[in-house]
Amino acid sequence: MPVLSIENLTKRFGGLVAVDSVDMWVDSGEIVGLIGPNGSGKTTLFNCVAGYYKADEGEVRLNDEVITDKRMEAICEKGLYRTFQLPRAFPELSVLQNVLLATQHKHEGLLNILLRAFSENLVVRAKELVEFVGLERLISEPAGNLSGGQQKLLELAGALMKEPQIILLDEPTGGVNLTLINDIKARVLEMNADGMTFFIIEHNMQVIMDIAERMYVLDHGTLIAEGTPEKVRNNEQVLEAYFGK
Amino acid sequence: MLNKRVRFNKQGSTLALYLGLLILLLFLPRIIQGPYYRHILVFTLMYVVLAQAWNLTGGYVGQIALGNAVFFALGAYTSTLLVMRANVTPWIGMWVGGVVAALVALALGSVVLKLKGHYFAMATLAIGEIMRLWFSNWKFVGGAQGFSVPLRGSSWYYMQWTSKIPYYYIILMMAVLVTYLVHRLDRSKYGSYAKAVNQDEIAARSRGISAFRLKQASFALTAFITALVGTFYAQYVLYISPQSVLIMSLSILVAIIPIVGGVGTVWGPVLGAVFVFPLTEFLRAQLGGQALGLNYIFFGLAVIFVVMVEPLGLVALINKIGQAIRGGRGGAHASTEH
Repeated sequence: MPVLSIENLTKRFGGLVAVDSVDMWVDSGEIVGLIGPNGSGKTTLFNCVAGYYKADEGEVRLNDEVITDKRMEAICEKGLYRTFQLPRAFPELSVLQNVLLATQHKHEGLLNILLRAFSENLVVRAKELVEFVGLERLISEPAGNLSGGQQKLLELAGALMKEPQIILLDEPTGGVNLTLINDIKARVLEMNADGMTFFIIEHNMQVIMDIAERMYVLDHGTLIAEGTPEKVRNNEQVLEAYFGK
Repeated sequence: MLNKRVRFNKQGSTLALYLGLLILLLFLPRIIQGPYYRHILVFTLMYVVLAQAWNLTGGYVGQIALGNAVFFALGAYTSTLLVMRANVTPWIGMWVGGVVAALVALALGSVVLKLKGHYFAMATLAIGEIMRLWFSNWKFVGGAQGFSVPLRGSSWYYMQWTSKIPYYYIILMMAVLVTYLVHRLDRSKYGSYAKAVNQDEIAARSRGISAFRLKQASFALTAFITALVGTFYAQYVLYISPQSVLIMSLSILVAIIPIVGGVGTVWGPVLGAVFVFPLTEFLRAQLGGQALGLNYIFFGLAVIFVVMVEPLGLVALINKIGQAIRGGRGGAHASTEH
């Protein structure tokens, strides 16, 4: 049974069909890539899956539970964690606080939120994750002082704090220097080896071809190819979408 | 080990500072004589509490409310009606008023908290004005004339005294307790979640934080605390009307104080109230009789000046001065070492 399944998903903005009847699935423990030229509907698809946009048609299931019309925070608590193309760390909060914020909120009562601080166990776990992504020297630094690449690593730490079923990464290596790209790649592979499932939008073909087991290709909102990186690389429709006829 | 000792010393000196401040506040009515100056003390502390309450919604979760007079009035009217019609002591009436205001905030919040930025500010401003007009024409609450709270001399049961000193200690206790509550909230999960929602609501929600629930809780808490002060005001001034407790200027002053002091901080509303309220009274006393509105012009200029010097408020300004002094000392220390 797939962790995530998307059936006939459609999203329109006025007359523009940004995502057109797309079917996809991601199995447990997989790394699945989502590629396509700019404006092909990749981020819109992620936004529909994560509850940021309401899909016009179709259904999204997380572990066979329909999540199509659920709110963003409810989807996250059910186990789907997404990151953003431009990292959205909280600039005035410290690196540690940023990670702690992604803790499980499902069973937190209001009084607990109002009166209790984060437990010592959570703080220890958050510190371990900050260390895992290599930001321990910056743990007390406001996140706004981090570089774009460091903020992407911070988002990975946050994602792990949540212990989700699946992580959706939107261009994790976009605008990041080569050293940090290798860091991010290594962390993703390490997390995947521990059983984490990933669905990744990526423009860096080298990176996504290296780490993904399967890939989907979108063009003008339509799914034009799917399969192993090797199969997708040799697909004529994909080459046409990227390089033209 | 050294770090622990430094932290212990720092905590010790902070505690000593707070204790010294509290002792000073306890003896202040003995130092400051005369009903007018004591009245300024009482009102300054009253605005500390009102500004702390506003700060929970406006400062922490970033929903700038301009209608808090609604909750202030609900507290004042509820306890006054209860004491006048059912002889219920205002000590109970103030809690009833707080609960009524919190429930109204939850009901209003379920609609208006979906608005953001200036749309929310305008909606709360409009609600305040609608309620002022409604109360001005509603006989049950005394219409435009309002109520005079019956005089009972000095009575604990009726929360009335002929001297200002008991009022001072009551409002001081409220200010200390509410400031401590905000301090605790600031350090709880609420503090982190609220700041996250304020900085980037979408990112906070994508981490599973229910921004709406947090805003509703903040708005209800703001309303509850504001209503408690409303009762205190009614018992202190002994007269309430839509023109005294439902005026827009009250809602705006309650928002200006934390903005001047520093929004989303524990001490911002305290510093703001200590600066703003005595300033308004001083300008009113000095300029109020000379030309209509002249005191407001100077008050506006003073507020603009402070916000231009330090947009993050007096708390940030004091922190900067403190850092400069410590930096200067550190520099002098370093130079002697060389």
